[in-house]
Order: sequence, then structure tokens, then C-alpha cells
Amino acid sequence: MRIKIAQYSLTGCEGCAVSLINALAQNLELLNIIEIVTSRIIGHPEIKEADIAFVDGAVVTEHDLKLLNEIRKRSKVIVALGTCATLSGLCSLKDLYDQHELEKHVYGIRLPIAHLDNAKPITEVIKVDYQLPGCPSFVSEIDQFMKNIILSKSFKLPEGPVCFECKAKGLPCLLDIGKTCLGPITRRGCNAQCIEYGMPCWGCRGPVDEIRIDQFLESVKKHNVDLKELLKTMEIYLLKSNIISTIGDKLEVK
Amino acid sequence: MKLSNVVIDVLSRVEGHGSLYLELNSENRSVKRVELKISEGARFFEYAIRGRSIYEAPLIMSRICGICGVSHAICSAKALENALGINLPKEIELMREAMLELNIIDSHLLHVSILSIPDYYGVKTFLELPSNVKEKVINIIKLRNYIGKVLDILSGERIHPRNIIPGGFTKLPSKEKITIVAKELNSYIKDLESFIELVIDKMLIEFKRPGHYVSLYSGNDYSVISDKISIDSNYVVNKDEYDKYFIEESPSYSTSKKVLFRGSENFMVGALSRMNTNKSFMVDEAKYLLRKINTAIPSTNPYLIPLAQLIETLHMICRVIDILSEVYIKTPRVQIKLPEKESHGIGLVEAPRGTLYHSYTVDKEGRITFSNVITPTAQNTADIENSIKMYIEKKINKPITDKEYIKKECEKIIRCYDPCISCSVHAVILKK
Repeated sequence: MRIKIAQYSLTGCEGCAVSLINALAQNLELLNIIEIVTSRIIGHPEIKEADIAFVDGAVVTEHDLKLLNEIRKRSKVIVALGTCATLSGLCSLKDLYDQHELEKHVYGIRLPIAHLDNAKPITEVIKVDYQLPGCPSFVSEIDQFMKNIILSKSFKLPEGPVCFECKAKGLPCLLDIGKTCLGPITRRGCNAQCIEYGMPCWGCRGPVDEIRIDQFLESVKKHNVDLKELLKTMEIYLLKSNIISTIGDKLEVK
Repeated sequence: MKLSNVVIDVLSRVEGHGSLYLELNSENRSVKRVELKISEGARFFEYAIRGRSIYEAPLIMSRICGICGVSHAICSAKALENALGINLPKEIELMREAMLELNIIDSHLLHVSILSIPDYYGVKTFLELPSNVKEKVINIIKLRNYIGKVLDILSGERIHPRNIIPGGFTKLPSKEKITIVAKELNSYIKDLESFIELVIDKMLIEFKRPGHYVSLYSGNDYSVISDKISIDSNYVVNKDEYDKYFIEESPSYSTSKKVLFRGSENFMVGALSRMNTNKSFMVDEAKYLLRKINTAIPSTNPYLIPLAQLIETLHMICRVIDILSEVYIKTPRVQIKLPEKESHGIGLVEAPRGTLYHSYTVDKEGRITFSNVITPTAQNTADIENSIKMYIEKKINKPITDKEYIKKECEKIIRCYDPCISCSVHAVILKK
């Protein structure tokens, strides 16, 4: 019997659902081993019993919340796919403003569907078995995950910061030139893609397990990185992680 | 008066959460109400971007959509460049054009190979297609994989690019690398042509319907970047006049905005509109295919959209090969100077589903103080609703009491437009 796969999207850009499709598209033989039972994009919108459910997006509406609880009941294994699912990602950017302030700026209408006060990562609402963070989630990591599952092997995210990969590629350090790069505190596994293309790391893969905050802050101060900018960059993906308040307290900047 | 309701709860094979609500009068076959309801959660991008740096904006705005991320990033950068008064050198503009075209191709091929193709063969998903068709669809999927690889190389990541900033790019791959990927793209053209031959007759479905079509226009190319908009190939307006002609409203039943031409008329944007407007600037290979359907163009028949997407894909692949084989970029970006006073700028590009509009106000520190985004799907919404109304009132050849049939056919029409729902729900209208 083929492994039953379900794909669900809560609120988000659905780029991670596309990543999942892209991963399958590069490996169509997988369809002999797995069966897609649920995926609105493929043409099966109904919720079904599944061996593995991939869930992307964050919990933003009442409907997301209801759906997610239902998904948990119907799926043996749940994979939080992408940064919205693991850390609520950019869905949280609006939470810096209160709902009232947002609604005040909305022309004439009220939102026709019920929104929660704050966006939540799915990991905060239900028990999640695996996490594949990234904005968007990485095709190569999805691929590796699938292979492990098929071979009944366990799957673990790589440990250590983005800097490992940056150094392995011989890329010049962006912190050294005063850029607000979160590479030293962010989990690797992205192949330092952003830095390779000249963009500092925004931390989309979430904090690394063994975080060396003091060492990071020392290096940040040494290279005259703007501390306010640093915290502002952390808001993009890390608003829902403890690290932002820890660093904020240590730096004593608001 | 005999009223009945038809509701499609979850639209499948579209990107995002949408549903359709219809109120029909079965006595005189009229549609009392048609509402394309978009129930995706609001993420308030235009509000949340306020106070953030112009260097972050394009890549944050890319996250509005997982299919058109590249288009949002480039449109955002263009609007910011407009606010800062920067003009880009030709070669950077050309690289942007190639990236937009690759984004359009990537999205179109996803639509034709997975989302819409089952409709032409009466199956539920592409996996159940007859084997001779499936074989060709798999070739299209492989072509799309390669397009993704080219975008990965040019921008770091095909879904959310890593290198787009106001002024150009943070970094680009070497000229050699770019030339090699462009060359290999040639080998996929045959597969695309053979797929088009296979489906062209199935995609030619007649349906006459009044309506406007809108796309970018420059007068000398098949524009994906321009400051001018053509309406019905009849008149041209400048980007600064956009909000005079295209009026946004927020329907009470949806989390998406709806845009109306002159405040009341539906219009379409996207592949068919672009082809209507700019077909004379297509490459010869695409023009050859166009000849087969020439009598039908210009048209606002939504059934022709997937075919227009395919012909446009052929044109754009040829265009991308030309650009990438020739373009040479010495410095990937120009220096930018922050404005002396608060400045406003508008950017327009063609995204996969049609004209995309971003506008920003930037302060002296280079921070965003205001932003507005108008997506193709918000522009197409009224047109989708009109097509469904016209279909039921004029075209359907079954009793309108057959709800299951109506549901199926309406879903097909909606799918032709390839709506991008995540995109349309970037926010609701904000006060200035």
C-alpha cells in the first residue's frame, strides 16, 4: 500500500505548498510509493485520513484553527512546512499593531471572516511531529525528508548555524562589514543561499539549538552593527521566538 | 420568482482559499447574485511594511504570494526606484524582464500541467489523464522544473528571490553560468510545441461576452515592464493616472479587494489581455501558433486564457533565451540616494495573472510611510463574476436546476482565470 500524503495550507502565501509540489515534480517516481489523498491544488480538497500531513501557513483565522485540529485527528504524522507553520513567519508582522489600529485604517468595512487576535505557528496549537522551516521550505530538505520516511528512517534537522555553510562556501562575512546578518544564531540547512546572493540572513530557519548569544552580541558590537536595525530584522521571522526578547533585554534597546 | 442558491465551498485546483455563491432565478434563467468569496486570512502587508527600510521591502513583499513572489519583488523595487527618482541601465532592466518572464512561465506551466488540464479530459487530477496525454504533461512538468532551475540560479530561489533590491540586484551569477543555462533551455521548446498541438483544439471553446481587457503597453515590445497601460487596444493611460481609471472597493463578502474600471465596469488582465494588446510583438514561433486562432483574437473569452498562457510561454521562453545569451552586466546595481523630502512612487509590471501595481511613500531616512498593492486577481474578480453570470444566462445548455452541472462548469470558468487568492488577500483597502 502506498503512503498516504495530505497537503494543507492555512493562511500564508502557499509558497511552501508549491515547494512541496516542486519537490514531487522533480521526483515523479515517488508517486509509485506515495499517494496524494488531500491537496486542494492537485484537485482533492476533502480532508482525509493520511499517514503524513504537510501543513503550511500560520493559524490566523478561526477557520485555520478548526481545520488544524481536524487535520491532527485525521493524520498519523504532521509536518510543519515552512516558517509560517514553525514560527508563524511573516503572518506575525501584523501583530506588531493591534487589531483595532489595523481596523481603524480599513476603509468602511469589517473583515468578513473571524480573525484571531494574534497569528500563531501551528506548533503552538497542536502536537507537530516534524518541522521543515524555511521561507519558503527547501525542496532539497523536503526531498531528503521523503526519502527518510520511505526508508522508515528518522529525520533530524541539521544542527549548527548558517555560518558553517557560509564559511564552507568561502563567502565573505556580512557582519564584518556591519550588515545585520542573523546567520550566527540561525539554524543551517539553507546552504547560505541568501548570503551567497548578497542578502544578510533574516533567520527564516529559526534559532539554532545551541545558541551563543553573548558571542553573537560581542561580534555585533565589534562591527558597529546598528542594534535597533538588528532587532527590527529579527521581527521579520523571529517575533514569536524567545530569542528576540532575550536579545532585546541584553541590548537594552527598545 | 423561483430563487435557488448554488454554493461551491472550496474551489479546488486554484491557489488559495475561495468559494462561490450564486443566487439564481430559474423562471427567467437570470443570475440575481454572483459572489466570488475569498476567505483567506488577511496578513496586512501594506500596513506592516510601514516603518521598514526600502532595502527590505521587495523581499518582504515577495511573501505576499508563493507563486508570483518574483513579480511582487520586482514591482516593489520599481515603485521604490520611482520614488527615489532612479533610472536603471538597460542591462539591469533586461535581467528584470527575463526574471519576470521566467516567473510568468513557471506559473503558467503549473496552471496548464496540473491545475487546469484535468478539465479538458473530464478527470479530477492530472494523474488520471490518458497515458498519451500524461506523457506530454510530464514533459511540461520537466520543462517547468528546468525553468525553476534557471530562476534558482538567477535569483537564489525561484519562489522568493534573494537578490532584488531598489537599484538592481545585490548579486548576480557569472556571465558564463547564465549563458550555459540559457543554451539548454532551447532543447525544451519542441516539447512545449508538441503539447500545444495536442491541446489546442480542446482549448478552443466559443463564448462571446462583452468586457474590457487591460495590459501594459510600450508600443515596441510584448511588455512586462512599462509605465503605460493599454485599455482595449484603444487608449493608453500613464501609471500616474492608474487610480483615476481603476477604482478599488472592498466587497463586504470577501477579504480581497475588487477593482472596477471607471468605478463600475469589469475588465480582464492576464495572458489573454497581453496577447490581445501586444500580439504583433511576439516572436515568430508564437505568431505561427497564433495564426490558428487568429479569428478569435482580440477576445475576452475566458476559455481562451489557458491557450493564451501556452502561446505566451513559447514567446517568453524564446525571449528569455535571447536576453540571457546576450546580456552582460558589469555592475548589478546603481547607487541610490535617499530623497530630500518624502517622495511617492509607483511601479507596474506584468505578473503571471496580469498587471501588478505597487506604490509607496518613502521618507528621508529611506523608510516606508505608505504602501498600496493592487493585484491581478483583485482586478479579475469582477470579470470572473461577469463571466459566470453571462455563462449561465446565455451559454449553458442544461436546465439551471442542475446544480451539480452548474457547479462544475462555474469552477471550470474560474479556473481558466487561474486566480491567485493568496495574492489578492494581501490586505484590504487602507486609508491614506
